[in-house]
Amino acid sequence: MDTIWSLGARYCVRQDAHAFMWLWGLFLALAGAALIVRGRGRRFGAGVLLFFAACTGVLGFVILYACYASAPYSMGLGAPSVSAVSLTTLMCLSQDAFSKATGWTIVVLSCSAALGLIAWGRSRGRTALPRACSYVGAALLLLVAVAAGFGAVFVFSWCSSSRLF
Amino acid sequence: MTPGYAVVLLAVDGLQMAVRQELSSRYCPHGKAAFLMRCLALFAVFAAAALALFLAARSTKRPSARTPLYIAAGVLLLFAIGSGALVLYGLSGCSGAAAEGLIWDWP
Repeated sequence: MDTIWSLGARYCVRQDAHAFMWLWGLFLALAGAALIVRGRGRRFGAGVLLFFAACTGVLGFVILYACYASAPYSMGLGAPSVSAVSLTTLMCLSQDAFSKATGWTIVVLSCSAALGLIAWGRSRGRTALPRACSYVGAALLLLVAVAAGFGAVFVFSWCSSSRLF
Repeated sequence: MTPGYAVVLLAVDGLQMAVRQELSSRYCPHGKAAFLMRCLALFAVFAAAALALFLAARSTKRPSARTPLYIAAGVLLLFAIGSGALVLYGLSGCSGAAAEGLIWDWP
């Protein structure tokens, strides 16, 4: 059985290699951006970027763990100690990892751009019109982020329900 | 050992063998050597870009641009190293023929 689990981890890395590389690149880009922003004295922005970087890492590990924990069972190996609901959740979490990575990237980029726009609009010397435009742009970007997040939750729920029934 | 128990053991063992075979053949490349060469070339491009950024950071006259260039170089280098390690780890689980239809065709 140990061989199966060890092979399962490698199988998951191969299956979702593009998603993991994408998330690794996003993690590094966010951490690097946080360092640059912190160097310019903007601690809040750096903190937000670091938070996004940490969430990116967590997402990668969750996808890998979910695939690792369900791979042998999804290929027909009996799972007497795992409940059907847990197995369904694990399979839905690991399924279509690249779409999840893309959705998360949209959320992160939209939120970061919205924060940047708000910071730009709040800086000194802005007249009312550019400030209003930056706030409206930030609101639209946040809307995009919310829509992407809702889409991800909806797809996960749909997957869970269609597997259960 | 009763005959019934032996039959169950054989069935479970056969199933485990089949799953093991699936796990070690899915998403494997057709040829490991060619695949590794392509990966090496791709990640070498990232490493070269990191080196170019590092040299640009060293030679820049503006101190404010130096730190971002160093950070970008570090990010590119870490991406190349991490992705290479990921590819090698994934590839180390491949044994036997690749499963047609589920091929790992590029990094």
